[in-house]
Amino acid sequence: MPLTLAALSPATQKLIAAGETRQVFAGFPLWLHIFWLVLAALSVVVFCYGASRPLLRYRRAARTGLPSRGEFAVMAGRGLRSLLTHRTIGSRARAAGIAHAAVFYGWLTLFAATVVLAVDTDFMSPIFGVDFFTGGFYEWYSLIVDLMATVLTAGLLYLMVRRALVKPARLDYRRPDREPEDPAQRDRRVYQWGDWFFVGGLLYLMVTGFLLAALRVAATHPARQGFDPVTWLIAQIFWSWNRGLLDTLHMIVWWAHGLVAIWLVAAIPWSKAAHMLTSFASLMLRDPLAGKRLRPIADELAEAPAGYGMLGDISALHLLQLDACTKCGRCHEACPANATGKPLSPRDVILELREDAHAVAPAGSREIDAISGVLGALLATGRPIHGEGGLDLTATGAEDVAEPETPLVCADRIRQDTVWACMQCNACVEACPVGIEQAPIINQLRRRLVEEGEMPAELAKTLRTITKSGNSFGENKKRRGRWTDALEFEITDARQKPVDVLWFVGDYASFDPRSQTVSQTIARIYRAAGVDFGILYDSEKNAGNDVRRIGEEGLWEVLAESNIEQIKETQHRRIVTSDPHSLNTIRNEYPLKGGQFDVSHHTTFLLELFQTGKLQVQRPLGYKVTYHDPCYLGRHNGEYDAPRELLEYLGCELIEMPRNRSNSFCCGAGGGRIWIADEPGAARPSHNRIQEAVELGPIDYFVVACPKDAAMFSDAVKSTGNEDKFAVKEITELMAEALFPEPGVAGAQVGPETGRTTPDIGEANPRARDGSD
Amino acid sequence: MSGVLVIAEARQGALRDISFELITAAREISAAGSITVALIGSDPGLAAQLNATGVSEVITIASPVDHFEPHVSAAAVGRLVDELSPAVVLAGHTIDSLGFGAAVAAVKDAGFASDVTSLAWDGALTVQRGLYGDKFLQTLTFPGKETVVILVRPGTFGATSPGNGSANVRPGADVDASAVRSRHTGYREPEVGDVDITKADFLLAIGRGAGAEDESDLEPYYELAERIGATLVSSRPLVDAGLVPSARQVGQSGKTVAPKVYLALGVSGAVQHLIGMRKADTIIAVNTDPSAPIFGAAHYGSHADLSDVADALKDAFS
Amino acid sequence: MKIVVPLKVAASPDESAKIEGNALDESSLEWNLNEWDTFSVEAALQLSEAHGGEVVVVSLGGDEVEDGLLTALAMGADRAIQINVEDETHKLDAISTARVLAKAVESESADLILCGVMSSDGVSAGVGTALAALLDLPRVAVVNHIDYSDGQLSVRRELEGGLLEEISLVTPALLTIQTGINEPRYANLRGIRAASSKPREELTIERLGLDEDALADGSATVQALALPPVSEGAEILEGDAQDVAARIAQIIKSKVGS
Repeated sequence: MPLTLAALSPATQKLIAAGETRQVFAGFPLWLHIFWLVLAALSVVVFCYGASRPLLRYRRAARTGLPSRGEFAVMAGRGLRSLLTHRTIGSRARAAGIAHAAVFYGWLTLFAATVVLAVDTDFMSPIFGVDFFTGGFYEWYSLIVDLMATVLTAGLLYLMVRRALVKPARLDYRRPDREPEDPAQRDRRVYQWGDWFFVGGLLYLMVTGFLLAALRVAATHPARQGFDPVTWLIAQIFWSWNRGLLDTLHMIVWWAHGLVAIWLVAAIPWSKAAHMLTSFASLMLRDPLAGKRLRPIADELAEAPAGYGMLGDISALHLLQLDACTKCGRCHEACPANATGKPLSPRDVILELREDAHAVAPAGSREIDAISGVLGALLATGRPIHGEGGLDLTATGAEDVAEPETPLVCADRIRQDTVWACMQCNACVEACPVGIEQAPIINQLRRRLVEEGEMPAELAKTLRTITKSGNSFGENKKRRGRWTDALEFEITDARQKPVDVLWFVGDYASFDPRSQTVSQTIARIYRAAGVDFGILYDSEKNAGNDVRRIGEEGLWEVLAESNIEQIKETQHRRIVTSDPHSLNTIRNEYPLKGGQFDVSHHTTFLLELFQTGKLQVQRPLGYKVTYHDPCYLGRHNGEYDAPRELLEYLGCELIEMPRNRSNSFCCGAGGGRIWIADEPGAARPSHNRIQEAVELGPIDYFVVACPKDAAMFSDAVKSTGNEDKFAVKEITELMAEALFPEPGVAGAQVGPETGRTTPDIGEANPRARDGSD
Repeated sequence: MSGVLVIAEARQGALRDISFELITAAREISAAGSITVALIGSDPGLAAQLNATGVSEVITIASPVDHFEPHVSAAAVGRLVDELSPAVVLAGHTIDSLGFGAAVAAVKDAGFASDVTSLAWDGALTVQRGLYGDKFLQTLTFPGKETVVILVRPGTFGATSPGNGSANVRPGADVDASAVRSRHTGYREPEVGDVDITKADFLLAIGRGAGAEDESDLEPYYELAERIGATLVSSRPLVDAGLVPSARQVGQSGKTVAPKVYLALGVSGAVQHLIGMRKADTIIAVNTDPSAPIFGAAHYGSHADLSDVADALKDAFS
Repeated sequence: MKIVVPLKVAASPDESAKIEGNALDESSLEWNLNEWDTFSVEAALQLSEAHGGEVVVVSLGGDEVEDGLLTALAMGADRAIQINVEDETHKLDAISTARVLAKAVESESADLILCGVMSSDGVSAGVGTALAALLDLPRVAVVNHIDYSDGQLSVRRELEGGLLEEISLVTPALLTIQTGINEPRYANLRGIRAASSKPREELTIERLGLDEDALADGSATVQALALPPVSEGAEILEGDAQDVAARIAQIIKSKVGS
């Protein structure tokens, strides 16, 4: 008998016969065992090299957004919780989430099992002569490994079926920003092949693993059974085969399994499997305020051009996020721009940036690429894409390295149209299972374009208007309080007198004729509830939320500083606004400029007034309504319930649209899009949304809680020809109807039988428009 | 130091209306002295038309080039000022005169006022002109100036009828070829659009006040125009913004129109626009800003909300 | 090539504007870079980007001028010259303004000077043409297209009725620029703040060797400033939108006869 490392004691041999343990490296000569260990060690070295390589890139980048040392523990805990619960992975794709959990937990178990085995056979037994791989432990070990391997295999099979047969649109990698024949279209089939390589590789390991176990069982016929049921089942095929044949087969399959396994370990950093590292890291560093509070320009970068213009500008956190993308397509699917045919998919922005970031990989990467490049060369048809299955041996040298000086936004990379198509609605950030900040990254691209004066002419005009007049309507700033003229009472000037509630009105609610009537209604409701409230009149300016989303950081600073100063000069207990956009920047971003304020949306505040009995419904409305979650109220500020509870108070029956709450669909006005012309005839998000509501069947009202929504959807109902189906109502318009049913009190007048007649606030308001929407 | 020198304007072989309007203006200040009309660098045959009532002399000055050339005009006018010492030089506030009027005034240290809408002579010249988009009116005098160069807003004075005069028509000294400093290389006709707005009886004009930010915002106005049987036109800002084709632009740099009815929605009435439409038989203006200059030109006005009126009008014609 | 762009920071009165003597009360005025001048700055930047060179912006007036110059610097101009004028006299008329500018820029020996056609407040449309005459430069007024190559300019002048005239001339020259010639780039606020570190030269009229009083007399004397007479013409239609529309419909039908 040749000398082997795994020389068996007589006791162990007895256990093997009883099926209470098994022999590892059975039949291995010493040199082969050592050869194997060397290979395995080599693969670990390659893995470590590959895994550390991106760190070089990250280290050269700006630290903006990275947590301090002290925060790491908390973040690691949060990341682990997200990972172990699979909360983010399963949230928008249940089946895929379960399949992923199967693969993840299966892989984790098998990985742990392999480590346990290695510790036992390569460390504990040879060095200390202790072998714990026996008895009860072995039984449980076998059972768990067997079951989890089955679970893992099932998960893989589902993922393959999904790609081969279900073919969800989000996985087709079609780019909305490129025509198929566009010369700047990169071949993304490599991504599909990368996916197949990854799931295929794992499946191969599972199949060969099961086969290996089954061959061993069939060869040894262990006495104790039932602890590896699936293996046992497979072993029945070979049960009566010749022992010699089985041993030979076992040896062949062992190598087929083992070599591929260690090669795949080495390939992890270069394949889709890299997301095991990068996605977890990204999830761990996930910023709960991503998109809600855009990051300010770091002090040390104050002199540099703002935002991302070149690869070197991208922060370490965002570089990591680029690497973390698994191309799951959830952002692609959630994006309202993509859904309405605009040339933007957040996924493609991320992938484009990643491809570029990797094309200027650190020097010395060439030789190591060759290792996984053997397969990569077979797979890759386009440019080298690291962190993917595809790598091209011939294209890793300097000759194909992208010019580092090419701007990120240009015809060959991300196009300007793409950058300006974004509504900054955060649907992508919300949908991303691995914590990528698509919208904030797009915002960084915008900051640089703004710095260079590159933007749609209408947008430049609007920004100049806001700079000049403090509002986007180009109205004289002295007219900001004009909407109050139509009221029967005067609203307190909060600059003159302390108030309980400081009402930050916002641009739209101050100047848009449709929203002015809503503001008047809100004022009447506050008054009826006995609220002590006041406004800033012409000292208020545009809150700056959308200005910041456009990327005009300097103008946002000016607006924020002015508003903060004005607000601080008043005496108030809390701030309330009917504008979710203002709410967001005041709550989440004004603190960056030293403005810490207690600010709520009017729906939150009004709900309190109902709960405390200060407001009471006189006449329940009995309408069937649907409710649209404003992006900046829901996704950005988590207020989903107050408007719904209010509707309940008003006696309305709420019929939810399929896309509700965090999956709400932007009206198309966000991120400055309200100031950018849509191409004539192009699909619009607001139309898409109204169609969704039409498909609910008969409803009376489409309820909104945002002045921009009121404007966008009122238009959309008209231009889609659905005026006869339902009308758009700001929630307080319905409230006025329920609170003041007598004509004259606040001018509300609606017979329940007429349903769609709208309250004629014009009774008390000579300047108001005809109440019909 | 007496007399009025009128600089006539011709283009592509014909005298422009402003030439006859300037003669009318010169007659308003005839107390300043006799009226001399200069025709520079154009067919001397046109001089007969300039021989209008009240004109005492028409001087034709040959130019070394065939087309208007601002340096030639400046040299010719400068020499006439030296020669005649007129109290007032009148030219149009037109694109051509913008090329030399202020140059003559600067070089001759003369008095200068442009875009003038009224003139008076009471031993000395007093003129009025609009400021801040015609929201204010400025009155100017020119103490100590022997000659004053005035650019008169087109359309302010009625055109006198051509000929009928008893003026002495004579050639002046030629302008030397060395004065020429630019070369005319051709004309480009304005884009021919799908419509000829100068032929329409009824125009619906929209301006900045219509609040259009993109082309789709204009759809309701095109619909309205169709409904009421009007042709849609606009003022310059919407054309500059690329929202309305330039063939539909009314005003100084667009078309001059004289329809039976001109319905202006959200048009503030900048001078340049008024020049193009003031000859309409009936002008109706809707604008929420009561101080908009359009109301000065309109026959009927309303300060009501634009889109409300547009909607109601659509209903009225359904 | 070196391009000099004279700028004006123009006043726009708000609705509360009151006449004080021969001028408007200062507190009702808002100051902004003259609209026409944003186009001339953009035109200059585009030329210097295409052909290399320097863009120098120059303006005269009171404190308000600084913001206008910073805006132009933030758009991309290389250098600014600010000529301070005493408060009482800083409303120099077009010809006097041209005299000051001529003194200030003659030493620059610019290849090209680009002025806006006019300013939105004074609407004289005289500064550019007068400046060209004082510097003895060939000029074209009301330009809406520029081609440049090797000292040769080929430009289009926008005539009445939309007719365009094509003109060629050689540099050095002066052009007055019409709106719509380009899309002026946006000057972002961080850029405007950062622009204060670009080279800026401050001059006074005295330092230029000019007599402020003589300049203030200028080419005309303001006798009065008044609201324009209320026109008799427009009959204001009363009532709500419905009533107004009904009346308009009636007028249209009677005049057009549809």
